[in-house]
Amino acid sequence: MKLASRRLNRFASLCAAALACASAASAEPPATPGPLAPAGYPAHASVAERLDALARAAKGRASIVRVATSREGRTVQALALGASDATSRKPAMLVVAGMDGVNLGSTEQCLAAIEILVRDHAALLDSMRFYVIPEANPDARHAAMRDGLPRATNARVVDGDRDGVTDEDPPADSNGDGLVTLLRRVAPPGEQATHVIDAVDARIVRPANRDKGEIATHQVFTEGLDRDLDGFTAEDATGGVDLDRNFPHRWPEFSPDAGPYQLSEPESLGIAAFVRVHPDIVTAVVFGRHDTLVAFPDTKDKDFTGRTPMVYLAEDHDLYRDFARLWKDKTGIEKSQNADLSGSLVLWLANHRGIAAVAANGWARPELPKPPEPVEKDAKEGDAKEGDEAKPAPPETGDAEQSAWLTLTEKVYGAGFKAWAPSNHPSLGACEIGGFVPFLRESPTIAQARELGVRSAPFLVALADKRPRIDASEARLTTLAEGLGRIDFRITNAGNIATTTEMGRITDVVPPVVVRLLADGKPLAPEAVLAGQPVEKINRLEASASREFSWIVRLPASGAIDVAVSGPFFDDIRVRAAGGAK
Amino acid sequence: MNRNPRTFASAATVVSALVVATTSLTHRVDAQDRPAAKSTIRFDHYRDFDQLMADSKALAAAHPALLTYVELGKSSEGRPVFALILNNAKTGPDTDKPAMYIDGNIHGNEINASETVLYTAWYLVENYGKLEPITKLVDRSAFYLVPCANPDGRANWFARQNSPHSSRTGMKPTDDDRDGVADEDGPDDLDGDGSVGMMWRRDPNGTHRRSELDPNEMERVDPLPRADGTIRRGDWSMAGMEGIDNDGDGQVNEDGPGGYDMNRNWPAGWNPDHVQGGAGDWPFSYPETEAIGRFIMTKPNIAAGQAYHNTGGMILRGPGVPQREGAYARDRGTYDAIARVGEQMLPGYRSMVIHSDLYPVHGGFVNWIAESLGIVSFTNELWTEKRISQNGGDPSPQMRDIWQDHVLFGQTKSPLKEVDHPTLGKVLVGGGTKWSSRIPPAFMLEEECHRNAAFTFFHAAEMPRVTMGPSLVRKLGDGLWEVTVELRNDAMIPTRTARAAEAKAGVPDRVQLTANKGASIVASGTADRRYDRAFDVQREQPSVVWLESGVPGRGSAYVRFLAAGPEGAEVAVAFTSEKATDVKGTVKLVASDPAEQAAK
Repeated sequence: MKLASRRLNRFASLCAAALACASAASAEPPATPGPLAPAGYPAHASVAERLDALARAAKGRASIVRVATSREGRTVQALALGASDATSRKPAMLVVAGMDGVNLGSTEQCLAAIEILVRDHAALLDSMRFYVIPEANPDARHAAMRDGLPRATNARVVDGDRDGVTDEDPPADSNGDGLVTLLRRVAPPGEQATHVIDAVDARIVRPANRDKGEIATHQVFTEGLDRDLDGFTAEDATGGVDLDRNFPHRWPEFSPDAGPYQLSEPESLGIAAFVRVHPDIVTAVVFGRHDTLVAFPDTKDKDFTGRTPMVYLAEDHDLYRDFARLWKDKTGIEKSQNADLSGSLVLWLANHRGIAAVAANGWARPELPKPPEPVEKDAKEGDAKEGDEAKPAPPETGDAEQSAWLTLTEKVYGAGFKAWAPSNHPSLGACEIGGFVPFLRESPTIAQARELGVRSAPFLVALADKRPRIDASEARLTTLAEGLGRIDFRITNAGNIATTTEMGRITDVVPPVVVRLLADGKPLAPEAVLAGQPVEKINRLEASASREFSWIVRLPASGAIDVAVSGPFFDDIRVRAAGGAK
Repeated sequence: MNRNPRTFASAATVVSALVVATTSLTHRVDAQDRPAAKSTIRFDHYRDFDQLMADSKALAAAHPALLTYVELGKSSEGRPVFALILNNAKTGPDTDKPAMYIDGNIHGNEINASETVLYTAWYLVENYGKLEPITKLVDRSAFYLVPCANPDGRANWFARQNSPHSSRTGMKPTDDDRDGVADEDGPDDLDGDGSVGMMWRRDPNGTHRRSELDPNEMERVDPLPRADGTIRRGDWSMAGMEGIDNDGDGQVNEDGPGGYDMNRNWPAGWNPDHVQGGAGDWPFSYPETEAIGRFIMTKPNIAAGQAYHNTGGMILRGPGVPQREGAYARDRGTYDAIARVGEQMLPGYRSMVIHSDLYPVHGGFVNWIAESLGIVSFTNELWTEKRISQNGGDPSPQMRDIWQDHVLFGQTKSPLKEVDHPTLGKVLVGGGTKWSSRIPPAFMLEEECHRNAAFTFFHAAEMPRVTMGPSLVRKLGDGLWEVTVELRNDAMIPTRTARAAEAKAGVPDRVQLTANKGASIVASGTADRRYDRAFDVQREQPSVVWLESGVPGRGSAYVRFLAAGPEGAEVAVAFTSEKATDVKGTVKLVASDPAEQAAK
């Protein structure tokens, strides 16, 4: 066993986390972002109260169902809107948030948007259903808020360091400053260094840039106590499984936070089971750490089977690009956070369930406040003053992202960085503890999250308008001979998206639109159908497309033949075949 | 040679006859005999699920000290998914020993698989204390035996009309034809023979005609044109499997009972239905697979695995798809060594790889336990029709005919009968019954069970057996000692497969060093070989050494430590491993034989 590699892996994940944040920067923040998360965030009970309030506001067109019970006993709830008549089928949109306790803002973003939808767009509930799961991972959010520490995972007990003992060495505030930050030290002789302290700004500790000839000098750890005295700090944190890495598509097997098997968690399994029994869901939005709207995942690659796309099927790109345009037009949000999609809910919805599913957040590093406009020079005169050029540009650090966050903490947030302070750690010895305050970079503040929700609402409303609609023509009966007739019939998708995605057609899990012949209300005997199939299944019908049917049948004595059309997202249609002699 | 003493005596001298008689009176250990069984279970017939369960319970009741009947869960239709746990509690709890997991009949029609698993339990408990190899095996291992992984499929196969190939699925209602109704158009037994056969329809351009050799058989007409250029036309063509259009959708038999494959429902490399037909909604989405999966995950001591299927005479290992071949790269030697012995024990069986020699499988059971849990596992495809021919090759049509008519007396055949079909008109129905082709006849069942069980006993005997070899202690002076501890594994299977080590599956083996009498451990780590000068030092916690790769098969792992302390002080060494019995020992800080020290 190479112990050094364990440590390196941990460094790698720290670096990866930093990179994920670095890929993004968002639209202007509210004038005052307010205190950092988790301050002001609603606890689990408050989320439930707001769901109740939403159900009341929807005036009888809402119900709340239990999706799962978390490992710590909290209820994962779904609010079903527009559901006054359970037997009536309508196209539905699934909205899920709160998959983790890292981006705490997703739950608020989701609730705020749905509150606007119910308040200002109640008419939508007549033609559409919404299933809203605002807090999919209540245990992660609870722990994150309680500990003031971002946490992606649920409460499954996991032996993170594989030593046969679980959760014995969690991140901890080892120097008593009230925060869990980072711990850095000069790598002792014989131990591998990975980081350097930035020459321009000593607050910044970052991976050495070997392309520029830098030699690593430091090690970085999550602040912790090394309670199990194995020489690593915080290597066996409390919990668990990251629900957004626990879904079956591209499940990252053997990654400790992905779970022992796909859908191993009550929360993820509960969501999957909910989706399975709701074939009416045609579109879905997952608010969380992932984004497929701002940075459209352009890849047309398939996974190793060659039959399932890595992200979206190429044939569905036009649809998803349309959704991405909608997001940009309706929210104005052009930047976002993103993370590895392996095992995510959104990938599973799109690729295993054939649902047109997108991920969104809109959260990223806010733009720096603009410096005051310099006085415009008169170009015609062209006599630049000598003094202008004499002023050198400030030197740049080796990590623009961290620099920008440092500037933001100074100019916008006021707080957000804990100055490095010397410490004597019980097992690591002399070191410094400090760094960015938890949640500054991972999650919007509550005010920012509400703002994101307000901006997301028009997108949800516009997306709800994207739905299929099946219209049936008249069923024209032409009598060919005594007791023999031809029936001509057509169905049309009068909606503005296909009845399912192309991926949905491939998966075979989306129920087809079924067209069948009835005689006196009962299925026509197959031997009475001389041409055409007594039951036809349409797996996918594109927007504005039609499907024609023609049967030749032996007419029942009563002459009463109906064409029945059924499908997962519309009420049964029955058309009496009528017409006359040829 | 006949070693049965009763017939042996006549040809022997009086003296030798007396010797034999004496031996047989005191302790008869004759492998060719059935044991004097405490149970009345026999293996000359097939039992339906209820009989299988009853016999399993009876076997456990007859051997309470060794065998426990436990229910792991319930099937879709509420039948017990049960296991027989074989463990001699006097030699320790089951979880302290390496264990072998064996199941069968996950495909409901593969009924001989359950008989083989029940036989395995029966042979072990009935021969415990009688056959020394079996006694030793039972005393140092545990067995988790699930005779029937698909109780509903088995029950349905016996109870209802089926073919040799149907009822492979479980019985959870599944809407195969996606018309909103589940299981509404299955096969129908039109001729009332209890089986589902092929339907034949008169056809002036037929592909078949009735065989002259046996008018109850159809034979394909030769597609080659005659010399004059005319082609041969038969008068019959196939019209699908026996059944009618029950739901009136124009299709026949398109939505039968169940309609999925529980051997595609396991987590390793699981893929959805559009990639792997029958996979189910997600891994463990069926109560049977979930119950078995949960049970296996509570037993990290499982080091060997076997799943029984039929048919074809194969000893299969993973992977199920070429992309996962790497999962076996460094364990292949172990797999091949065991499978090669199996080929010798099982006439007509061949060692094969699932994806390259059979077909691609995503989410298979043995793939899960081998690739995700690091368990050395095989799937045996029981019974091969090569067993019916003299030369062990594929039987010719004539051999088959003799077999069916003169060995089986027509028991697996149903004569072709004309029946009225509602949409096809008059059709001929019949042919091989569900008892034909995939399973051995009752008179060959016990042999098939025995040979396969014996193969798993060989496999189980190769589960890790770790002992502490002689330690090498060198006196370094100044009260310092260098100690090399050897952990030996005489079995073929390592305590951790290369797959487990690479994937970091499970907990690594652990060696705890506890110094007594004023001694202390200064540094510790591992050495590749006993006499290596230097060693791989572990930086932290010298009192614990982790062995990610465990102790290799037929080899040793070496833990080396430097200790400070007086001569004669003792260091306790405690080895713990998920898949091997724990080992405890002590090393005295006294220099080893100088000759051996010089070797270093």
